[in-house]
Amino acid sequence: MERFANVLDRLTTTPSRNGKLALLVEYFRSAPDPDRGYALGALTDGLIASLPLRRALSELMEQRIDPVLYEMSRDYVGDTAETVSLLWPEPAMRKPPSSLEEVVGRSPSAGATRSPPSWPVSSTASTCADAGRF
Amino acid sequence: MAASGVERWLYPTEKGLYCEPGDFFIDPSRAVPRAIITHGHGDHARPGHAAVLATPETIEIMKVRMGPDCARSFNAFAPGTAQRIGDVDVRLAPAGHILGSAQVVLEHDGQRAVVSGDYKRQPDPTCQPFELVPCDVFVTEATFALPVFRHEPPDSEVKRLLDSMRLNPERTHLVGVYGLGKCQRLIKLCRQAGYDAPIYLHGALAELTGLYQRLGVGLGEVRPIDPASRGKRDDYAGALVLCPPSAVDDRWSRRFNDPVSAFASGWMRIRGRIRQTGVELPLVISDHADWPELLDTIVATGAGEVWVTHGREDALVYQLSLMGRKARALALVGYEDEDE
Repeated sequence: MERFANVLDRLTTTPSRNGKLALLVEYFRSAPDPDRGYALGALTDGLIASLPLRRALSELMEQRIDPVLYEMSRDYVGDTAETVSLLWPEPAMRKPPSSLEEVVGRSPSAGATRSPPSWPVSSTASTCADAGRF
Repeated sequence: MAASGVERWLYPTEKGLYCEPGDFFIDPSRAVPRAIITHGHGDHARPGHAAVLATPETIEIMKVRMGPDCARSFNAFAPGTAQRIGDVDVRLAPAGHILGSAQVVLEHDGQRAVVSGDYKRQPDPTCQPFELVPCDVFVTEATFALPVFRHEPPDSEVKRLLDSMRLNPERTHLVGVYGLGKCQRLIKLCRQAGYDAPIYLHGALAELTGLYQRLGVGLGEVRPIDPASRGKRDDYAGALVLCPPSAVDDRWSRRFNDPVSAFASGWMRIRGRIRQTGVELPLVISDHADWPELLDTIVATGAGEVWVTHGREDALVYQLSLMGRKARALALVGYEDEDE
């Protein structure tokens, strides 16, 4: 999970096409199955989580930060998901980051679930650094 | 809540923050008869004052940046000593921002105000650490006053730079840095992390870096970029080169071999800012306090009243009011974020 997040981050800051290709080749060559399959799905819009992400994120933040400060931060950062990833409280101790497989398995699209939609987001976010949360 | 009364003798004017019983300004934006300068960045230290009072390092920095005649007279004021100016007791306390940076501690009529200038609490091997001074009124900056700003430990950011240099041994690493403070701190951090090869500097960074060295900050071997090097791209293969942020994408940088562009700044926490600068390797290294440091510092001073100078005043004033503290924005003109 962290590894895929770091690849995504570096893809956005690598200007050259060959550089992006090198990153992807390196990732797909060495990432374990089924993680790299999920990664391919995520990169090509083939992975659709039926998670009401916008609502889930704002509900999550209501419990964690004052709404006015959240709005000021959102205005400044310009992106809801990134704002949430930056505002998320640092856990006292990070567990080893979960694999992509684990994260995808937690989201409701992978099967019926009775837990509220915010649960997979918050439990994953609490184990990641900010790039992984984003 | 009752006013502290400090605003009767210390208040903002169109030229900057004015201390009436001492008849001097602090970091004024225009030329004045008497100014106390907190540090050498251009939005705090301006030319043309008749008399300047500042730390010896700040005076040297002002002379290098603006010429030896940028004020009619200079009075060096060492931190730890005290002076009586008019009816005010004044001393300077280290602010931890850049070499020579100081907070101004003012006492009058049984009340103490601290004007902190710019400051940070992270350790910085190129300047004295921030000294916490308990006070009634604390005047703070707010450059990074949003809860999204949490600066990474500088050591881990420098490690990312050095790791990238190991992974790309043929490529020049070109790091945009502000010339006063960030440049010298980054060099020192690289040295502390064990990097001992020569570090190359754009011409615009040479003079102030030389001044840091003369003032006793050991930076190892730094070399200017040879102006005759144009056309020989391999000259700096694998080297670490520092330049002003504007030069990273400039014609000047075309002399380097497939450079990795980097930028060392607190703004690199935000992806939008990273995309704006277009750099490959963003490094979150800041000379300003982040959100937790601002709040911790303000609480620790015990100040009943907080005045906010420049940056994101609205968020900080709002948060302090939630915490039950009296806070207001001073709305001073002339300060910028640009030195970060």
